[in-house]
Amino acid sequence: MENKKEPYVLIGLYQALYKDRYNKSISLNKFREKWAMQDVIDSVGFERAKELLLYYFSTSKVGHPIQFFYYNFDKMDQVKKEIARDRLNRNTLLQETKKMVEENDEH
Amino acid sequence: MNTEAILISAVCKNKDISTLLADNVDDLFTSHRDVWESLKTYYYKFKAVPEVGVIMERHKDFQPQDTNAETGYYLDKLKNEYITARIKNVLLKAGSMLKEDGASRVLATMQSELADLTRYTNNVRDLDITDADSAIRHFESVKARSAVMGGSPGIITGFKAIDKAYPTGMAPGHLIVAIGWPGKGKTWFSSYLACKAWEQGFKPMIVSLEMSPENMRDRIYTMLGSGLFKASDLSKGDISIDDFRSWSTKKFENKNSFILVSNEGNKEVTPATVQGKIDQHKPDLVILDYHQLFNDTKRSHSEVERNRNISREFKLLAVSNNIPIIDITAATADDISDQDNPPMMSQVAWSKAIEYDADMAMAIHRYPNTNMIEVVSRKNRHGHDFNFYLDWDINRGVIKEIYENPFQNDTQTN
Repeated sequence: MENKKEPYVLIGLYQALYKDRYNKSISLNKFREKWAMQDVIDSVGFERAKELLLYYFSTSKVGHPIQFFYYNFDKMDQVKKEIARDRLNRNTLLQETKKMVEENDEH
Repeated sequence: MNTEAILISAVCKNKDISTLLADNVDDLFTSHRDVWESLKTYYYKFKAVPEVGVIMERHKDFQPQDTNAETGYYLDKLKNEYITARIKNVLLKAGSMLKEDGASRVLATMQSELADLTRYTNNVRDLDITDADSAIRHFESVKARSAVMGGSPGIITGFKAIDKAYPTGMAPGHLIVAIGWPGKGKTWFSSYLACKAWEQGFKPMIVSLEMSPENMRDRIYTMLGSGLFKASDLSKGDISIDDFRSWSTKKFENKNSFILVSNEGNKEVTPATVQGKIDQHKPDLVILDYHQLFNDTKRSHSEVERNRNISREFKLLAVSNNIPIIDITAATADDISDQDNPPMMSQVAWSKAIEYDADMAMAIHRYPNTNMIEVVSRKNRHGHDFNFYLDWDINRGVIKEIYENPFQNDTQTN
């Protein structure tokens, strides 16, 4: 069931992240933005939308406009999934490499 | 005059054996095959083309010839003579076969033999896998080269993981791509490979379009000093000159040179410029720092086309000069990628070109505010993929390989 507070929570998070990053506040029309943010939540869920907002501010997008987030959150979701897969692969590779080097040392 | 002797004399004079090594030339030598084999063996062993006198010492009957033109000119001449002789032979044989055999069979034989000759007339190299003798000659040559190179036909990196997973080492003709986000340690890492090559007796050449040669030299001294010098002190000139003199005298005595080339940001540099420097210095390993700062020979305006061409031209430089080349490439962040992990190929523009041209691609990633550098293979045409960390005190040049994830418990980083 739709939680009416969730879009406002995310808009608030966006504003806090913006202030952290740029050291200035951004004013938004929350009543207008909530519809777009609700679409994001409907697509990926509240928790994932929160993760994506945090991720958005780790990218080098200049100005981090909220509109860009609305238009690209699905792409960021894909990139994040790909990074997570790669992290798992790298950990597996690390273990395999360790084994390979140890075997080599034994011979 | 014997054209084979002229060609060998030209190679000894011009020192450009790569012109021959990159082509199908073994079969062209008949009367001087043993001299040519000696020349190759010498080159593989000492990484230099001998003076003609050295050849004469070994082959008493070899008579050197005066040459005034490029090696390629004499190579074309020898090819022409060889093909002419072979065609004559095919025609004579066909004439005699026609007396006893059907025309269609004679034609088929001629076509097959003439088709074989085309490999000497074009610029691609080919071989017949059913020619076991040719394969055996190749294996013997690789084995001999490996024996003199310390176990692998290429230059070993000194990192256990890479040397195990990349058994050829940085071999002649290989294009190795080091990818990383800006400022994440790829130049340090590649320079370290150059130091390792130099310590093994090879001659590296770093073409840096990003740093001044003095800055790059400070980095190299830091790494070669293994804790003796701090990069921060070298950059301020804050060292004991006597200590440095004593260290450098001992370190550089009887060693190959280590070439740094820089344009100081003033002039465009293309693969043709790099070829000129290769001809001048005859390095065993070339590091190009970095890809995006080079221009392609055609000077393309489109960024994608330019980078694709450069990748291709770097590969050709490696093959035609018969040396390994390390191409340092900065991953370009788009608006939806962070830079917190080693870049994946999908995050690198023109990654398709890298996938086509590179023999090996590694992502290098230094984690912020730590000494940890992750090195992960993104493509390895010659073996397994690998991943490991380096605990690298960059300021002191002290490096340790690590095969555990140092961020195991760090949820943010991993």
